[in-house]
Amino acid sequence: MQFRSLGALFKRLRFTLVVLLTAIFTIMAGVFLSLSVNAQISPAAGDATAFNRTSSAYEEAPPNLNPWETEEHDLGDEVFEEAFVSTPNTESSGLGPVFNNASCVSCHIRNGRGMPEPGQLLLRVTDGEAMAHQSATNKSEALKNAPPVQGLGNQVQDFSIIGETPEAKVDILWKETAGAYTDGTPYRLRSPQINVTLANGEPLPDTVQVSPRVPPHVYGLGLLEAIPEQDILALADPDDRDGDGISGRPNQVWDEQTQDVALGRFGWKANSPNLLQQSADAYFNDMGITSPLFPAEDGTTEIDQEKLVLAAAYAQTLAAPARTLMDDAQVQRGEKLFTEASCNACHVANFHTGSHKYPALRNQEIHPYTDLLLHDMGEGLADNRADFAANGQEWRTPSLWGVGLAQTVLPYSGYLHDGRARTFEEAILWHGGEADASKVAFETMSTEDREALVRFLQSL
Amino acid sequence: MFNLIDETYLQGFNRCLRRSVLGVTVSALWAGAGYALEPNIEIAMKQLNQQFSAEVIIPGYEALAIEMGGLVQAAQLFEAEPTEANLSAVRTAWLGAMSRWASSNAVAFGPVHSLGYSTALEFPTDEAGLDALLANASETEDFDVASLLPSLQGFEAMAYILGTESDKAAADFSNQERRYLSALTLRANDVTTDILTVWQAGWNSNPAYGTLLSTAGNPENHVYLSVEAGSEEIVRSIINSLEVVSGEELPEVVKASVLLEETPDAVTLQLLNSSVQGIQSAYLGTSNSEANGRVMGLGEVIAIADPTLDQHIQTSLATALNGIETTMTNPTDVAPLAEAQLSLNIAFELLETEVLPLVQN
Repeated sequence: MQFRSLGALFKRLRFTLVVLLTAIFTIMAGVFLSLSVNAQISPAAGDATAFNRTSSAYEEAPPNLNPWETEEHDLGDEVFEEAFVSTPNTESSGLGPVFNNASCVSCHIRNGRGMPEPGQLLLRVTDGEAMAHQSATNKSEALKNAPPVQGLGNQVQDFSIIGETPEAKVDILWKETAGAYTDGTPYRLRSPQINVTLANGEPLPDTVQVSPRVPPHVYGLGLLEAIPEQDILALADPDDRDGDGISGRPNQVWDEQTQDVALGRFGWKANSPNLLQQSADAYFNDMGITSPLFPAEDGTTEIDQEKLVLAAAYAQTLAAPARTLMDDAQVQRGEKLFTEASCNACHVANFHTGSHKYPALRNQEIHPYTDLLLHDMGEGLADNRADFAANGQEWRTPSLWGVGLAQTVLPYSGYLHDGRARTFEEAILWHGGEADASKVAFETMSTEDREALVRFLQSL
Repeated sequence: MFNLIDETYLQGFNRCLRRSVLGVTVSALWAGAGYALEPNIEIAMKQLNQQFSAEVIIPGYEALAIEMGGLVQAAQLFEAEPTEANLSAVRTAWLGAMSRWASSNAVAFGPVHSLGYSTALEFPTDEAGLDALLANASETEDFDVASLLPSLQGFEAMAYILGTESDKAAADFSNQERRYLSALTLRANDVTTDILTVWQAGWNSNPAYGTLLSTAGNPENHVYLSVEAGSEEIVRSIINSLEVVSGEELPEVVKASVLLEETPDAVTLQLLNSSVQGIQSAYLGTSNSEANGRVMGLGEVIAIADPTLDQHIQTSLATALNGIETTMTNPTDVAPLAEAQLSLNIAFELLETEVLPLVQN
């Protein structure tokens, strides 16, 4: 049998064509469905986002690191884990004689925030009396605005190597207060009461200003370092000219490398201009390890420049975790409420990174939820201790990316500078000063809305 | 041209095409929609999360607690009667407890890190610090080990004091060393009890950590927001443990054996073996304790999607264990260790590239 015409052939193939089109449509629908589910995990840091929502989320390197960046990250990882000892003549010698901890990773467990107890809380101190009569001739000391305490320096070191005596013993008591939301739902807040007993058995003099701090998280910091300075300064509104009640201002700190004033970005009060100096400061104050940036009085150092650079490299090359549940209606509602309560005025969601030593961090759309500026957070959170341009009520807006994983990485860890807040609700309720209106907005929300806002934070 | 084509041939062609297209359609539906919403895997992951802490993690820590109890007793006996037999018993008990700890590394997440338990049990020793501590301590002073740095406590500090059979006899131990050794074991025992308590009962009014894993995806769960996140935690924990064993520990032993012609010591091999056993137990869903059988393990979740993949991983782990055990029986034969490393690398690659995407979706 033969075909009689071309038309007959097309007729016979018509059904096939329909089925084929159906198949193509189905494939597209399947792919779309798949993509929409996968879209629940969205980049937080562009190509430098880590797709990990577990306890190891903060330990991920950006997937876009090139081979030499990866090598520096891996070497930095080893340095970050190095435990210093009192044993002489080893590569890890030099611990102390007084210190807070023996390795970077001992404070920044799994690169997360530290815990107030058991463990990683430290005390920054200033001689308040000396501050009242401050007459520093040194430009950096004058700028620093925090005269050291005799015998303690600017940080209480509560451990020592065997044979030496720790500077002090630090005890924390928690003071609880009760409150209620507008709808009557009760809540409880706690704040730390710090008792310091010096090595001689005496309490710390009343004139000493004390600021308890938990170690901040380490991930995503390189990307914050890569935000162009002018983009941060553009958000500053020190005199609140726009009248929104929020007046962020930059900290101006001393850069030990350039020996000049620089924009502060890192630390609870943005008292460090970059991650190299932040690392050197931690080696010196937390572990008693001297480095080229903070050498001993005789100019000697216990770690060399290469090790210091690698420690900073590790912090610089840690990814930020992807968000989750972005298609969840409750999360979406929470995000809307976050904006309506003006939380985003300080916790700024969007930046575009500029230049950086590491190419992987350049030109990325990032969503860190911080403006890196100082804000007056009210008396409730005040430590009453100045730090460069930051006064006793000002704190740098902490980033919120990855914050939803804080208690996945480190169960039972707290929020805010001293870890006092056990939950997101408590953290919000401690906001005051420039953030008071946002706190009030949260307090007056319905239970459902409060839960939605918290769910949004958990999705970050 | 078309007129010349045989219609029978075309009809067959059409039938064949129709069947192919139908097959493609069904496959597309399966691959497209199914990829995103595989119900069987979702159910299996939920079951995995629900059972994992009760059937794998907690029994593992219970086994550690039993070994730790034995270590405390052995150390106290050696403190009271410093004989060679009692010293040998302490060394054996130390290896038993350390082996259980090594096994537990395959599921090392949650409070074991945040509450400082892992560093209290395993941290590089400050040898000079330990020497100074023992030299400066009085004969009657109680050691407050919990207040000391991690570098002065835990398994490694015990190992430093214990030395090895060839370099330290019972008579070489000072009273201080024996007392401190006892204190170290008591502290380690307390830490183990605390780990178990947090997993089973909670900490500071917070819920048991086991509950947080088992209820992953429940609306009130703030630690694991989805079922997938709970299962991903289990997978990544195994991957991280594999990375350490196959990427660091085993290569070091192989390198020393091949390049330096060193015979691996029995303790190192035993600990490697325990680490891989822990990984295998976590994968299979067994408790690493003879008393318990197999429950829903990660392997069964994978088998739903790809039985061959599951089989491949199981075989790799079994081969690795076999290799290590062969060298344990004959430490001069290190070739099986290299094979074990290869097998573990395969398991690592498969888990990272095939299994992880499966549970993440």
